[in-house]
Amino acid sequence: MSNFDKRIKAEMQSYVKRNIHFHSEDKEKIHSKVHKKKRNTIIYYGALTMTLFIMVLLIVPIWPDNNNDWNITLSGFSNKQTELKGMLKEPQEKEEDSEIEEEPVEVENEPEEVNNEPVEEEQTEEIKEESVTETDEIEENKEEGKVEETVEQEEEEEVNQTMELTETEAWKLIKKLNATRTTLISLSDTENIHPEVVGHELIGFKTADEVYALFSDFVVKDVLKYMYAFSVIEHENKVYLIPTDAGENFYFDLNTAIDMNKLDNEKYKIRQDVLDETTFNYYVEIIVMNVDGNWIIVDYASEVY
Amino acid sequence: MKSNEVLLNELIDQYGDELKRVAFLYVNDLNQCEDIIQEVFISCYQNLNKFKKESSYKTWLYRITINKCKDHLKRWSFRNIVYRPVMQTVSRASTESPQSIYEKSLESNEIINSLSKVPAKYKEVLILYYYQEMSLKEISEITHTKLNTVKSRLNRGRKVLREDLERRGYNNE
Repeated sequence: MSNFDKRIKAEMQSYVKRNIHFHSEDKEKIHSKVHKKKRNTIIYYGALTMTLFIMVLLIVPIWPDNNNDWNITLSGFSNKQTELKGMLKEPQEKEEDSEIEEEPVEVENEPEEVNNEPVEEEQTEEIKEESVTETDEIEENKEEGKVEETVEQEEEEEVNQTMELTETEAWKLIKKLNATRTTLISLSDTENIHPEVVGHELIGFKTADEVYALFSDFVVKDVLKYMYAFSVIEHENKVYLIPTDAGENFYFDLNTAIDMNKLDNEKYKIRQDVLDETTFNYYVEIIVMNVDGNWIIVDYASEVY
Repeated sequence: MKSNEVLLNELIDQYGDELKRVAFLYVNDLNQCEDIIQEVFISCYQNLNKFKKESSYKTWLYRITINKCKDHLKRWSFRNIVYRPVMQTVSRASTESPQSIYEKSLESNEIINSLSKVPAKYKEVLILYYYQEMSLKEISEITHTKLNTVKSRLNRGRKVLREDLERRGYNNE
């Protein structure tokens, strides 16, 4: 190192060491700037996150998705449509409370109709008109709900009333039961008799159940099976009516009365004791039950004594 | 493991003075060198996690300082706008009277002024060589240049500085 270098070095070092110092102020400035940068970074990322979140919120409702029934409307971001939907759904909740089952189907269809409206300027006008009449609709729905409630109550009362089996209806059932024999005879081939079973073919039937199904509107199959246990016979995929005694009938022309007793809300017992000195004494008894509003003979008994 | 803030504090305490002086020698302006040194430590703090420790903190910080000084000079050629004598720039840092400072640092001022006019590629080598007393190898590491390049820059820089000082009437003897 030459003298020049030594002098330059000495002068330079002495000068800066004498004059240039790193102060605590400088340190504080650095720290404050570091914290400011950190804060700015937090604010920047926070703002960025918020912006992205808002963008997602704005985009998702209008994002086309075939799986959902989201329809793009001009008023996509207004509260009008949601309010409208809410108004339309309101009756459904009330109706659910009043246990009316048919109405929700209608209510579900209504929002679809609103959604399926074309996206045109006319729609906004229509929505405005609909919103004007919203309160009227609600009141109408309420009134409809009340009317339906009363109708339902009336129907229930009618049903309760019909649960009472009148004598007229009971006699009708007995007459129908008595007539089953006549009906079977009319359906059979009375001119020909099958040699093996010694009976007349019931034309057009393959099983006894098919025959009994003819009378299913007022008597159950088991009753007829019991009554015609020896009269209606299945043979070689055909059904035959055997000319023999079947279950005993009720008789209206006898002195003995036909008694009807209520067993419970839905069941009645009808019995007739036939006292015939020329033949024998017996009783015939049926149980009539209300099934879905119809009176049906569900049990049968007859015995000689 | 130290947190970044604790480490930054340690680095400021350890290298703050030296880096500020290097920056001053480079830009020859106290306000500018303060700004530069703040930027240096902010960059240091932001990049502490990226620092791979392939070099020492000292080498890394000197490299950042030199780069910041270069950027500063490129950004704003303040030398061409106003004339600021060295006395004015250092007056705030001194506790002595202006007269005393003037007398003591008359020669030094000339050197500092001359150094500030040396081209940047020579200046950084001269500062690190004269002030920091770094070896040529250390200088090549900090400036990311080959050893021979550092040697030639040192020689040329020294020559430029000497010629400038001689023109100012500086006595080499």
